[in-house]
Amino acid sequence: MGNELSRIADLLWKDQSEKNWDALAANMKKGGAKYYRVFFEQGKLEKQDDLRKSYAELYDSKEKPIAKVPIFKTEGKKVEGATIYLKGLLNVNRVD
Amino acid sequence: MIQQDIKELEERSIFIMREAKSKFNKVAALWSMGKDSTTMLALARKAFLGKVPFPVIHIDNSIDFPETYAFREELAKKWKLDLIVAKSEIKPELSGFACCGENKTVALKKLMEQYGFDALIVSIRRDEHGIRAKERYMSPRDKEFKWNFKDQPAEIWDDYSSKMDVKGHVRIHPLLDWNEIDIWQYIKKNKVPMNPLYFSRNGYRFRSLGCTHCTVALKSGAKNVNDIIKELATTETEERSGRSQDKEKEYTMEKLRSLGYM
Repeated sequence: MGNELSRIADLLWKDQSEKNWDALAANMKKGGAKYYRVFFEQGKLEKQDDLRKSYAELYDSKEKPIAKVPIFKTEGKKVEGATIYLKGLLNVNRVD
Repeated sequence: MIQQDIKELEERSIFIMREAKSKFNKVAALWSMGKDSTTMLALARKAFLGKVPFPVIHIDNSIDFPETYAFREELAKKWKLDLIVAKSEIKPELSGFACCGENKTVALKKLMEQYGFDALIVSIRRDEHGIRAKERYMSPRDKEFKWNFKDQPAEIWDDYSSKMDVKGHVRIHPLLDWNEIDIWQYIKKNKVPMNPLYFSRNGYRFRSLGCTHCTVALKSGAKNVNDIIKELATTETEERSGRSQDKEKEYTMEKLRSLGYM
């Protein structure tokens, strides 16, 4: 199932459609994901398109990284945040 | 941190909300799923026999924490809230307060026009930020949402002015005199459900909540409400020290609020 999660994560990097996000939401927990952390390391978030520079790492119950996913959704050229799809996971609460 | 009489604060907040509900035609409240706005909703339930009698607005930039979204859905269902989600966009603007500043205000303006609200309940507190200390319990905003803090009604001897000749709307601030520790005392006493991000995991917790891109967790071992109250009694760290926009100059925050920022 971990492989399925990786497959969907790879798919999401190519296509951030609602369909792929729904697939991630449905398989996240089955794939062992328990925690997440959002990264935004490049510059400032000034427009929706800057979300492309962000990503989230998903971790298993031992906080071992298991997948890296974008945190935006696209609809045509429109970019929108997608952290709502990570609902059910817990923030890792680290600032290092 | 100074603790106040919770009962007295509660009575005043309930009075302000009842006054707002009876004096204005269409009232709504802003809800960020944080501790203050959730406490405000708990107070509203107490003021209006267990039901929040006005729509509750979430200005959603779609990058809030997943826990925050889950909490929104859970509590909206449990408390039967009339929830309005207004999607806000992130657009470039000068100050660097991209998503929290003008963009949220734009979404709110649109929504206020659409629904015709003439009063908006906002759960800001005076002790959060210098500029918020200049607010009134009932504070007018013009059509453009602008706030003229040099020209506000006096609120002496608890005479709250709800009769205002405003072209825009009136902001209602029922929690203005509460401190952070009072909020947690109230949460404890009334068992108010809370966003799990406030409680420590791996030595870190969120003390003030924004979106995933502007809020960081602070070092803390406080795993429950009692721990948080203990922590606040001795802390020397500012409440909003994990919020990037507050690291900008006081003047910038004053400017933002005068332009309509919550």
